[in-house]
This record gives sequence, structure tokens and C-alpha cells, in this order.
Amino acid sequence: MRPFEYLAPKDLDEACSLLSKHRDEAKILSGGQSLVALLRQRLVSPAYVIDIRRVPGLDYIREDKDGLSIGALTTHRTVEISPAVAKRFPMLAEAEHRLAHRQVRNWGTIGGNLSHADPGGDLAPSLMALGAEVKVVSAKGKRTIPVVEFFTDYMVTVIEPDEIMVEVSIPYLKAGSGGAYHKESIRAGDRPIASVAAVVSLDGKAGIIRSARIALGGVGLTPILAKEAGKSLAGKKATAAVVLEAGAIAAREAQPTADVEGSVEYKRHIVGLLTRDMLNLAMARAQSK
Amino acid sequence: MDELSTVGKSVPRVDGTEKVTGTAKFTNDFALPRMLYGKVLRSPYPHARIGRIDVSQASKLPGVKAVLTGKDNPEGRMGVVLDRPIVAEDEVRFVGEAVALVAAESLEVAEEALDLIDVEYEELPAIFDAEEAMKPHSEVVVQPGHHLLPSIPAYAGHNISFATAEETPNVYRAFHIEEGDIEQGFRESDVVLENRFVFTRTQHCAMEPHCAMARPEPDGGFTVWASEQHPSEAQLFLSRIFKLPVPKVRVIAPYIGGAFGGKLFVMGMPWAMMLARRTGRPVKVVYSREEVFVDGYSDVPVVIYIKDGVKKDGRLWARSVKAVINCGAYSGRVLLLTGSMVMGATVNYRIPHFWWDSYCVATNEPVSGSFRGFGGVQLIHAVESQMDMLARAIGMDAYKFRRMNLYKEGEINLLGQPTHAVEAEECLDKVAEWIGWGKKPEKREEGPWRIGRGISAQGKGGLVSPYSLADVKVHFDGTIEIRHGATEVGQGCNTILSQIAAEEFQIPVGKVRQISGDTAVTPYDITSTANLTTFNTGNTVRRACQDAKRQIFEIAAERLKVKAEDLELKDGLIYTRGKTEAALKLGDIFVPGGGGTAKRGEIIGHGVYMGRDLSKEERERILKKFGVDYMFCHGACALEVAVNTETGEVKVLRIAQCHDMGTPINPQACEAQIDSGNGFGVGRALYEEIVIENGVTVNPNFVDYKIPSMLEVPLGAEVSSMLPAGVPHEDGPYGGKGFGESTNCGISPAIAGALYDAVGIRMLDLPITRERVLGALKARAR
Repeated sequence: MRPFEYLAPKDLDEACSLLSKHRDEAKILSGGQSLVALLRQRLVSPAYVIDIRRVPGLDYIREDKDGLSIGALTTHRTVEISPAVAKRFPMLAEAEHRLAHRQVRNWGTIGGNLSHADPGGDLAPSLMALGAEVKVVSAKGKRTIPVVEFFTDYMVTVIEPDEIMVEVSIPYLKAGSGGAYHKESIRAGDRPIASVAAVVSLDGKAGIIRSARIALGGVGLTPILAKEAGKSLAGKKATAAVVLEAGAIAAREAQPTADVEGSVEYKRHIVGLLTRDMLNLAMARAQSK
Repeated sequence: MDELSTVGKSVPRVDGTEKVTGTAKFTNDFALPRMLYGKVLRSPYPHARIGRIDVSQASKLPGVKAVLTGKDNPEGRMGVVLDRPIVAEDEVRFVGEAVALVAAESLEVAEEALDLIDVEYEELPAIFDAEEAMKPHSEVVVQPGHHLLPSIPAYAGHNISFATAEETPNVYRAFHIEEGDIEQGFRESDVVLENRFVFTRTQHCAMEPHCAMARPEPDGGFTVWASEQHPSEAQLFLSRIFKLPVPKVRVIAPYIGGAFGGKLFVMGMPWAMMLARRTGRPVKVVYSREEVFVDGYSDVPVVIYIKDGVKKDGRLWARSVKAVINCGAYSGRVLLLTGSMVMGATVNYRIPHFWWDSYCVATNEPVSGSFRGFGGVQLIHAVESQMDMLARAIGMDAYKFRRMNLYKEGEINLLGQPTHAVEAEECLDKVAEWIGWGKKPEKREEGPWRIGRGISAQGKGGLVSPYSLADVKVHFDGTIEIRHGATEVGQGCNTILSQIAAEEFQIPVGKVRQISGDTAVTPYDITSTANLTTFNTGNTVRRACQDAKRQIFEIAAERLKVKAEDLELKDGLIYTRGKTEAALKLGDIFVPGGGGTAKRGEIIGHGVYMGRDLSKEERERILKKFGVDYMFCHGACALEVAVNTETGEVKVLRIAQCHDMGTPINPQACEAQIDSGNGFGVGRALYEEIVIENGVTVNPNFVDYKIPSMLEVPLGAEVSSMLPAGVPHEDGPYGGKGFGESTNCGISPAIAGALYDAVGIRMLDLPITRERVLGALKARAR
């Protein structure tokens, strides 16, 4: 770890003004579960570390009229055990449950996880499939970014150096919709070999898929929205064959690289299997609503 | 034997409270005033000539107190044959070899200084594959002339021959053993089966990384605290390296946070000493986890060729093995593995015709080391996988086939040594019964999952000549102080040794105190490795206790005018045999105040154990054959796995192990050893593998190197760690013997067997990753 100056702003305004002053020379610390590892391995060496853990008002889960809003400093563990999350988005609670281990979930925050932008992160696929947005603020103002547009490259996002993520908001699912997420990993809590989130909206009476959104984790430089796989299902009757076909398309949309988690072929294979399983689970949930 | 009061009881660990509450001190918990932090610059090339090294920028960095290179090396070298320079001199031979050292006021400054050292390298051709490197006239020679180097004294007696030839300069050592006529054996066999098994490199992953702190002393010597399994040998190593009189190097090994064979090489210590010598200040060197993976003397990659012949009636008839061991760039301790590995094939099953060749081959990979099992994991995987396949080939049950070939008590094994205190059959029976061998599992499949069962048996010893000393000091208040050179690496030796002393003096375990692993105080002990601490140091402590009691009884006998042999000791009171009233208090034989006794001074008993008493003839025969006379342990494993036919994932659902250990000194501690072996074994079988590409370690961290967590191993009611009845070993302390290394050796072949049972694929190599399983399933479907 290289030496840095530690700054601990008391509120959001102070945090923003520190960021606009130090910009690229600063890194934000929230739960520290990703940043500290990077610091220790000297993969990042910021001159300033801005610890926002004492910034008030960013730790909440709120059921708004149209959707659920989660403050960026909310820990994974809080999301995991939140009754509101369990009721509205069980797939998110499931994703949190398999995110690393409880010690990490007690510290790590949802804003830190997304901003870190590890392509294998556990939250992004579900948030993409659910059509979630993130809010970021800076000394200059605020803006809202759809999660599908948030990630631009390996561990790079659209967040500017002077911006801080403050909230994640997820629109409620319409009736007849359901979602599911699963990570296949070598060990429980590991980075994914591949992960798949699926959100399906059914036309209840006819058994027709109105729309489907499928997102993939750990199989590219960023989390990937598998648009073609989702499109292939729209308007189709939900048969085993179309689900399998969607899996095959998703496997092609994946852009994995080989690493210790698996080869390119194996990761694509897992994407296919998970897409099948998550679509089936999402549809079962959609029907039960 | 009389009823024992402490030995054989599951008394709580004497270090338990300290460790659970976090008050136990490990090397890295210590710091000294004015201490500097040492860091090591490591080679990025697998083989290169070192040109100019510019340290000027690094030296100028504020806070840097010393930057040293190979030019500053002490005279001596490291390794079993003293071949590794402390810091590389003219050449580097693996990625991660030390090229320069820095001492600085803080760790951060030391790390920063490493980046400022400029080293010119001229790359040389490198070789990584041991089978390639052992071919005659290899173009790349890792260390010319290496095969002529002699071993250091402690290992000189071990049978690691020099039978290597000029045309194969990368073959550091070779070992051969044979029995019967191997060709005739195969001719007479009804079925002959041959396979090649490949094993990759794994790390011990001790929780505490390697760590050493050296303090320069005013007399020119050093005190060194280190996470080190053999402080006595370390002292000798270091005094040789620095050309110092032995007592001028004091080595202290506090509690050690896990070792598993990985802390035997004076690692980090010479660097801390070099920097301390230059700066005149204490220096601490702590390996990062990455450094542990790269230069932590990981377990060896091995290729095993094994050919077996068997009779239709189930008798094993012939076995030949060739093992090629990738030693890495320097000798480490792996030279001994050429001999050690053979035990996995020679001490469990009766085989009339046997042939063994092993080769330790140098490459430009990181230095390999010893690892819990010391070759047993690899060899027993190969042997036991073969046993499954042989049984199948002759249509016999795998459990019955093993059982009928096991050595029985008294049989002379292929090392020429007697099978003794063997409970191999009972172990096999117990695990078979627990798993329900021969009965159908409740379910064979669920969704994509298929269920299967596997079984294995195994025998092992340890390749270290027993030589342990201990002292026992008797205090006037009845406290017994054991001074031993073994190290509490987590295996529980301090508890076992306390129990032995408590038994001898008939006192509670709490009245025994230990001083261990401090060469200024504690006597020599060869190492805490190879299953041997209970056996060797246990015997030694018991003898030291008896020597101390003899002294007490002689003084008391004179005082009481009775014969010394009529006296007994219990709870700090001296009794005349048969009397219920004490004749003396222990304190009565001391001068008032308790400083010592009037005529003999302190009561200190000495103990020594150097193996069984053998006739000259017997000793010569055994040493000629193998080099070390030892005790052997036997065990068995049975387990159940589930295999996902879509993903290739393998889960161990239930696991049972049973191991003979003579009389268990502490049954609960023995069960815990077996439990720990389960985690090790499952990790090795299914997950763990250091990936090295062109000499570069690709996954030197706990994210990319997969150690199973609690969630990947069976727990609770799904685990049975069993002990057999306990046949006392006639030479062990209270009949006890060691067994800890065996507990991780039988798991991978049982898993491979269970996989075959579940889905009909035979995985020869380790680890059995999900991707390899899926590949095999697809290949079978084609």
C-alpha cells in the first residue's frame, strides 16, 4: 500500500467539494471491500482516500410509489435481509445472499459494489434486467443513469471523477412478471464462472412471453445485457425449446475470457444452462403472482 | 498396563484458550524498538543473467536504511545441498527468486524502494517440464554440476542416492528400490494395468505467512524469531550460512500459525539477518500472500507412471512405479521426496514383485517443498486409483480386494521393516460400514446430479531419522517444566507432551509448563514433521520425566532410608510403595526457599530418542534398503459424492476416515486431525492448483487459488472421524504413534472412485475440476 491522505467528510456537500478539488487523485472509500484490496496490491495508489462512511442520509431502503430506492451506503447485508427487498425483488436478495461471505456483506455497500464495476459483480445483472437506475451527484448537480448504460469498460463506468453515486432505484415489476438470478461459481461466494439474471413478463392467459430481459455477469469486460436472447423470446409461447434457444443465443452474446474460473467454452456453456434455468424460474414466479 | 489417569483422555488443548481469545503470540505479533521492515525484490524472469543493478535511487529514498544485493551475501547457502544463494548472484533461476533486499523505516517505504531498484537482465532459455528436463543432454541446465553437491549432515543418512549421470545434469537425485523379479511378476499376472497420473502444484496456505524477525546482538550474533518448524535445524543452517559459532544464533519459534511442511527452510530468516547485520537494527521480514505462493516452497508437481499386475484370485502380484518430481530451481527439501514418496507404495499392501524409480528433476519453476503427506497425496492417489481399476478388471469388490492384500501384524514390508500396531483392516471395515458399502445409496440421482461412493486404504510413514531431545525441570512447587525443541504448529503437540508428563508425575495437566522452540534453552529436535512429534518427542519427554523422577527418588531414598525403586510420586507427594500416607512432599527434597536440591542442584531430567533399538545387523539391512527406520500408520477413507452431469461440479456429501495411531494419547485431538485432513484432502482433490505459465505464478492469491471453505466440505453428521480400538505400538510413548499426515492422503482416490461409481468416468489427474469432469463426461458420451 502506498501512503495517502485520508479525508473523512461529514456530509455530502463536503464530500463533493473534496472530490471536485482532488478529482483523479482521489478514491472514494465506502465499505472498503474492493478498494482496500486494490490499495494493498498497489493496483491503485490515490493521493487521497475520501471515506464517505460518515456521510449521513445514504443508508436506506425506501418503498416509493413506482419503485424501490436504496441508498448507496446501504450494506449488502441490509439489502439481503430487507423485508421490502424480499417482497419486491427476491432475485436481488438471492444475489446478495451469495455475494462473497457475510463478513464482506456486513461491510460492503451497494454503491461501492456498482462503482467498483467488477464485471463479475453480483448486483449489476439483476439491476440491468430489472431496468434499474443509479443517481449520482457532484458539486455541479445530479444526474440519473440507467444501469444498462452505466458500465463502459473493464472496471470503468460513466461516473465522472467528481461524482458520487447516492442511490439505486428499481421500478416495481408489473403483474405477471417475475425475475431470477443465479451465480455459478467454483466455491460459494466466489466470483462467478458466469451469472445470469432474467426478468420475464408473461401474458397470463395465453402463456405467451410479453417481454424478457436477460443480463450476464462475469463473461465480458462489463456486465452484459443479452439483448438478442431477450428479443428472441418476445411474443413466443413459453416452451422448453424457445428457452433453450434463448440460452444458446445468450451464450453467443457472452464475451468471456479464459481465467482460473473457467475456459471460454465452459463459461459459455454455463451461460446457456443458467439462462435456461433462470428463465424457467422467472416464468414460474411470474405465473405465481 | 495400569489404568492411566491423563494419557488416553480427551483433555482440552493447553493452548486452546490463548488461541481462541487471541492472546497467543505468533512471530508477526512481536515488534522491537527501532525495528526496520525488510522487503525482497524478486526476479520477473524464470532464467536470466543478472547485469548491472542500480540501487542509487532506492538508497536515496527517505526512510531507506539498506539496499543489499547478492554481492552482500554471507558465505553459506540454503537448501538440503546448500545450493541456493541467499540473494541471487550471477543468475536468477525462477520467477520470484530474491534479487535485492531493502530495509526501511516502514513497510510502505520498503515497498516503494523496491520499485526504484533498476536491474538489467539478460534472458536465458528456461525449462519448466520435468520430463523434458530429465532427458539426456538437455539444452537448458538449471544448475551445472549440481548433482555433485553433498547433502547437509542431518539428511546425509537418508537414502537419496547420487546415482545420477553426467548426461542428465538436471536430475538432482534418483532413488531405486526393488523386490522379487518384476518382469516375472508381470508375466505371472492375469491382468496388467498401466496408467500415467499427473499432479499439479499446490500451496500449504498456512494462515500465518512466513515471517522472521532478526535482532543483531552486541557479540556479533543474532536472535531470530521465526515461523519455523525446525528451530534446532534452523540454528545450524543459519550458523553455517553466516559462519558464526552455533550459540551465537538463537532461534525462537513462538506459536506457529500452521506449517504443513512449508516452514522448514529458514525462509525469510537469512534476509532479515543480512539486513540486521548491515543496519545494526532489528529487521522483520513478512511474506505477503503472493510471496508465499511464489517462494513458499509449495508442493511438487509430479508425474507418476504405475504398472500393476494382479492374479485372478485377487492377489496383487507385481507393481512398478516411476515418479518424476519437479523440484524447481533449487534443492529445497524435495530431494528427500525421491525416497519419501515410496512409502505410499510399500507399507500397506503385500506385493511379491516390486520396482521403484524416482527422479528429482530441476526446472526453472519456483522451488518445491515438503507438504503434509510428503509425496503421499500423489502416490496414494495413483496407487488407490489403480486398486479400484484392478478390482474392477478381475470382477472383485474394491473393498474386499484391498482388504485381502493388506499387510498383517509382523509382516516385513517392502522397505524391509516390520508391520506393527497395524489396524488397517479394522479401519477399512469401519469406514465401509459407516458409508454403507455394498448397500445401495438412498438415491442415485436427483435432477442433473448423480450419486456415487468410493473407498480407499493407505499406509504411510515419514522420512526423517528420529532424533529428539528434551529436558524436564522439576520445580519445588511441583510444577513440571518441559523444554523441547518441537514446535506447536497447530497439531497439538504441547497438549500431548503435557499429558505424557502429567501421566509420569501423576499430576493434572495444568501443573505442566512448556518451553519450546528456543535454541538458547531447548534441546535439539530434528523437526516437527512427518507424523513424528508424538512418537519421537513424546518418547523423549517421557524418558526425561523418568530421568527426573529417578533423581528425585534417589534423594528421597537416602533421606527415607528406603530403596529408590520402592518410591512413587503422585500430586507432588512422595510415597513408599503400598503406603497410603505420603512420606515426603516433593518440596522437602529442595533447600529451603526451593532454589534447588542440596547435592544435585536443579532436578533436570534428560531424555533422548533415536529410534528403535536394533541389532547391528538389522540396522544395516534397513538402512541399506531405505535409509530410515520408522513407524508406519495405516488408514482408510470412504465417502459419497454427487456429480452434476451438466456442469461437472463434484460435491462431497459424506465422508468417513479411520486411522490407526497406536494408543491415542488424546482421542479428541486425533479426531480433529482427521477432520482437518478432510478439508485438505477435498481441496487437493477438487479445487487447489497453482497455475504457472512460463514460470510465472498466475494465481498467487486466495481469490484465484481455490481453497475449499466450510461450505465446500461436509460437516456435522455427514462426517465421521473414527479411531480403531488402539493397538499399542511397542516403541511408542504409552503405545502411541503418529498419523496426522495420513489424513489427507486417501481422499482424492476415494473421490475419483466415487465419481466412477456415479457416472462411469475415471479421472487420473488432480485436481478433478468441474471442467475436467465435464470434458470427461462429454468424451464418454461421444
